[in-house]
Amino acid sequence: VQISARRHDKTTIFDVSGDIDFANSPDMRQLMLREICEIRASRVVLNLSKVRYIDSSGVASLIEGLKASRDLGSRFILIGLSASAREVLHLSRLTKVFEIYDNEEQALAG
Amino acid sequence: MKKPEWLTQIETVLEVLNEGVVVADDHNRILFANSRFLEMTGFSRHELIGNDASSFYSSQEWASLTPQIDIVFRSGHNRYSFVLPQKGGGRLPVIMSSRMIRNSSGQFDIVTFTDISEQVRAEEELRSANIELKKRQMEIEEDLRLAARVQRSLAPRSVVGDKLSVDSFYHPVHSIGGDFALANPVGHENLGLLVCDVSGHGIGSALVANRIYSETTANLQSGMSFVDMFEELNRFLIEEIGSSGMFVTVAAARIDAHRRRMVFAGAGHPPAMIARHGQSPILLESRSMILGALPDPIDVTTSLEVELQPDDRIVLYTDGITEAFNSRGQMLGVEGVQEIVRRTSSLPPNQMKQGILDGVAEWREGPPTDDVSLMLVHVR
Repeated sequence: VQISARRHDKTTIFDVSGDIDFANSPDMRQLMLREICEIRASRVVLNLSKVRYIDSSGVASLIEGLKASRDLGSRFILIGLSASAREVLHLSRLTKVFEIYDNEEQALAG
Repeated sequence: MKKPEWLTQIETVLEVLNEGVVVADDHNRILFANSRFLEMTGFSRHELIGNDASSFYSSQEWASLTPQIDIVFRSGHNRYSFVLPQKGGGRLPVIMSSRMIRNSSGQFDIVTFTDISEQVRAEEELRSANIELKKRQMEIEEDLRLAARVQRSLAPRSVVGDKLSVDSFYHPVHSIGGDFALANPVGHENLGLLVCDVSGHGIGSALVANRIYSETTANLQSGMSFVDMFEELNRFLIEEIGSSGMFVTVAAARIDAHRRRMVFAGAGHPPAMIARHGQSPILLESRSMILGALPDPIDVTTSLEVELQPDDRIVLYTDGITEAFNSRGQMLGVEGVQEIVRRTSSLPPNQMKQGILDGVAEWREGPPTDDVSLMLVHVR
């Protein structure tokens, strides 16, 4: 997986590409939590448009990000979900707890 | 032997080197040793100069060293690892680098000694650590074999009754995994079913799976409502396991075989399916979220009641089935599984499970990367 970060004001956008699985989700989790807890970004957006697949450990990392954001009163947003990533979140019934948008414009406007 | 003129000229240079240096003649008599060499061996210059190098080694050591010296005199140079005798009888591991000099005064061997005792010590430590590691690995493998046997004992057995039969399959991606399934008769007429997937595949997941197996078995037998059962499981996972990154998905059902009714509930789990000959399978979707991750994941309407018909096939499985990818990187998904179940529902009940597994394997590129569990119930 490759992750790069862009910052605009108090928003951090992570562009993620590759599969988010058992091997690399800890790295993603660490980066996200740092942005939420230390940098105190008020809005963290995960651009997953180049992510093919999220396995259960990837889902767990997203939940960690969500929980940390909730604790600190910031927003945690997912954008650009692929069909398989959307299905994994749908089956877990997590689509109702995450803020999900189709693209960056919608996420930043919302 | 008189010290040759050329040696006298370079002595000051050899003296300041950080490595031990010895110059010997073609009879192995020592003509020169620098201060670093004296430091390394503990001998004084007086004890070394004019003496035969072989007198410092045991006969066995010298026998090993002679072929190396022969190479120097034959080819002009050589480099090898050996030991340097020390005054107290010790042996210092060194790299010996020899170079032959021939001039009008005769033949001489300039030997440089590099102390490699640190490296040898590190290698020794590494060797011991590797032996210890191999021993530990064997112990862990033995533990895993035992754990796998324990876990296999939790795999559901086939149930064949007058009104219902259950066929199941379980394959952990590692020797042990986080899936389990159970099919337990409750009284004479009822059957309790459960398929559970603990996130991850290794020892931690298997331990959690084993821990919640007994809890859920008891709850399923006792007739506890699925809402209460899921609440209890969620509380247990958050309060007692409390591990970030671990959660559970579950599909549970109770079938009243006499009345042909089933109560089903799922939490974050891929939908169960009811296959009826010639029809697209009915999906029984989870209404609750995954358990163990968030404080309020249960939907109060989580349980749903379904009327069953003779020859219905009920299919419960874990995401190792849906999350199979083909060579084009496409996920099989629920729709794909639904299609395989539809296609195989016309097979005799005892062939349908294998038909589903074959259909998934046909789609999937390579071996499974996640634990796979499948349970098939046939309503007679």
